[in-house]
Amino acid sequence: MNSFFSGKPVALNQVRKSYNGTGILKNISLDISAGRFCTFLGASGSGKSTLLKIIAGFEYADSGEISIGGRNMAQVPARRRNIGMVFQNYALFPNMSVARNIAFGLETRRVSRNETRARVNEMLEIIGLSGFGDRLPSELSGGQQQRVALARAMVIRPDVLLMDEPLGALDRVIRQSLQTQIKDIQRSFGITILFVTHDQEEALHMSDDVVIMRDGMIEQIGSPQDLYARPINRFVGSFLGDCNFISRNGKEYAIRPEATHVGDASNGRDHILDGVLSQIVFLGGREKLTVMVGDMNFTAIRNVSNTNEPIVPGSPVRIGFSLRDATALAK
Amino acid sequence: MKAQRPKENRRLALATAPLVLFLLLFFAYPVARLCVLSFADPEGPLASYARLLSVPAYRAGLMATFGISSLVTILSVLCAYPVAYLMASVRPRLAALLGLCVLLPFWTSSLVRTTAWIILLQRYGVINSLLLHAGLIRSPISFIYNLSGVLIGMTHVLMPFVVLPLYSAFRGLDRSQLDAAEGLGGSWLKIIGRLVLPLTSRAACSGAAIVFMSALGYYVTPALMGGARETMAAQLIAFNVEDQLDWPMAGAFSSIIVAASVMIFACAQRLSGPGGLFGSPVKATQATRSDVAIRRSPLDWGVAACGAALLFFLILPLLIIAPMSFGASPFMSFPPEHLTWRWYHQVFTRPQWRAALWNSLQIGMIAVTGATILGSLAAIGLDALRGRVRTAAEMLIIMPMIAPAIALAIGLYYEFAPLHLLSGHWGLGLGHIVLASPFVFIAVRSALQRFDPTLLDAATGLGAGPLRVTYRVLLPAIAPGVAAGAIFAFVTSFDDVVLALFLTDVRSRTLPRLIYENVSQDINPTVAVASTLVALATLLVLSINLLLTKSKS
Repeated sequence: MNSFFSGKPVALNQVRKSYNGTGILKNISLDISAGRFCTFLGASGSGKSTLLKIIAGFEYADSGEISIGGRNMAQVPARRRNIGMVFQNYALFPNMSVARNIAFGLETRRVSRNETRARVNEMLEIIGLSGFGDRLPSELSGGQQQRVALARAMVIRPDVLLMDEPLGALDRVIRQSLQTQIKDIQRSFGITILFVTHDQEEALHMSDDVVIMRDGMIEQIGSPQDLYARPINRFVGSFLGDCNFISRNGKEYAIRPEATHVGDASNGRDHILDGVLSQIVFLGGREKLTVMVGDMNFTAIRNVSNTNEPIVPGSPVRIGFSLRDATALAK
Repeated sequence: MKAQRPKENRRLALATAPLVLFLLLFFAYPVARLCVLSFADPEGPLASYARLLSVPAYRAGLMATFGISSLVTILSVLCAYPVAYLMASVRPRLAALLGLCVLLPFWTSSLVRTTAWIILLQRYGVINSLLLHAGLIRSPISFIYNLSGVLIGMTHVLMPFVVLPLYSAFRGLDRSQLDAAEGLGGSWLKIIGRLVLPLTSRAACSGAAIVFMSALGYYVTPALMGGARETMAAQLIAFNVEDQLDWPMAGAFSSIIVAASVMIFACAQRLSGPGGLFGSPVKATQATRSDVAIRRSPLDWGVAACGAALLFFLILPLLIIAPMSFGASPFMSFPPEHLTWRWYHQVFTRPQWRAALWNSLQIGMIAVTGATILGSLAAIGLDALRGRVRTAAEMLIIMPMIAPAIALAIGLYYEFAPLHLLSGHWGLGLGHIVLASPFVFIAVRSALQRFDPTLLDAATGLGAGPLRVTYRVLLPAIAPGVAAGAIFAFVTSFDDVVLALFLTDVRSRTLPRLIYENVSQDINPTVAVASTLVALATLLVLSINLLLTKSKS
């Protein structure tokens, strides 16, 4: 596939927004390089969707600056921003065919009829819906509709593509296959994507950068690997997967269950904990153990193998780990 | 950059202004003026109200108004329960058919239905002829020109207002709850008292409120089917305006029924919760239902049989009016001895009927155009309003549905007479815009409520300006609502008698007014023909609406 357009960088500088005195966004500053897949991850009410709407121009910030491709957006209304937007509920125009939906953004840009037809057909091919151009959106499945919405947003060659929980309404299998498709398309075209989700797995699968948001503030920014291995605080640690927190030498550390060792394997680690097994969950190749150590739950992972001594809830378990595998948290 | 959104909103809010101004000028002002007039009696500010209580005929009229309205309300609720239950407990297909038995009369002119009842019930009418033939009675029973006539006529006209919300409530009832109650050993009496009544009472109450409000200002049915003792407020208002020229008295009667209607409306609105009394008039026909009740007890069967009989009562006048229009006898004897097109020929060739039909169509066009434009704009603009302004605008727009038509009629008569607006089409046309625009407003509002506002953002994000967003995205989405509103507007205008009686003259009179004048003097077959035509026109227009909505979904 030829790279017929390329994404632009997005910069946010001290963006603030409040409704009726309640702060929705508190001083958001962020730089996203061109062609990156950046995900805003947070619970509902964390302000991530509002931020997306402000970037799109559907809402206005109380203060702060937004620039796309180095151009300040303050005086640019939504319809002149050249942004593609994909909504959770697809927001396809029900009275127009699939092809006319995709062509809508070209129609407003006064693109010639021939070029429009060519570009619409190209998009239909990319999303794997060639031959569906004359259907109405209501005749498509949810996953197909969302692909049309994606095509409609991409055909205008946007500077940045905004996606607001686009897979939230789909079931698991379709969601996973669309995740892969979106990621492939993004990589091959070099689109800048800002993606909003509350699904941490989705964020880890697709993103180059993840922005973790809470209460209108950014908690941490980094690659998925970074965030998982080195959470900056308890919130980020427990938000992404299971995480144990321990205090040593007046400092607090986070340690992932994968970095722990159970039974004989704990020999030689610099920290040994003795506890009682309260729960064991079979995960396929591995087992997740919940162990009561004192009055605290500790989660550990071990590989399933024949040499493992069988244990049942109630039996004593020894866990070991090394402090260099743990991350010191900021105070 | 903060100011952009609110400015857009303010511009959108202006869309409500035309209808609001129109209603202030042609609804609120004339009705308020009547109230002011009621205190302008030459004998003192409260003299008209004193006379209202001291003159026996007026006092009796006031009692009759509230008494008959209460009776009609009770009868409507009692009759609506079996009908709604029957409709909700049969297969969806049959329910749709039964629904037609309710909706057809509901949308047919009340004048046509009253005419049909007179043909059915008069001294040598259909029912009496049948009973005499069968030897069940020796001499004809007087059904009409007395209390029973008024009750039959008004209950028939108003009952659907209770049936429709009740039906919707019954559909909402969870069959499994009833099964659970029965499984727990509840008797049917207990199930009805503990489950069915509490769960449907809200719908029954809001229906009853509409019936009572409408009954208070009713004019046509008591005037045509009642006797002297059933003279109601609306007739006394007309009497004071036309014969006594006593405007303060007419104002006093109007003020009382308007105030009573508004009070009941306010209470009912609060009771019926979000969406209000007229929140979703179309919901009843949309719900789908998989399980069908199995009739188990004799009571169940009894209620269903009652419902069937009452459905027959509802559809009967429509069934009888067409055959009677073909009967050869000028005295409308039953059964018709032979059939003839003669009366149809008369209606279409006599200048007075032709002129009336033409007037009706022209005024209908004025009403449809005006109400559709004003009502749709107001519905779109309402979203930009907030708080008290919004509530006030909504109340004003809905109010013409609640206020008795007679008050609007004489209010406009008082306003228009000095302006010489009563001889052409414009006086009645303006009045009909007032009556019809709430229907358009409600139809478009409900279309807008189903409309997903993110579509507007989607279109804007793709580069569409406000104009393109409106005609490419918003208008196609609400078009079915606008069309339905226009159809309701036409039917409202085409059926109206009360406004036509006051706002037209011999030259500009409409078809319903001419029918009314004929019925009130001497009922003859041309009236049956004209009524059949009005009913057919309504049926035609409504089936267009049905086809439109069918093809959309």
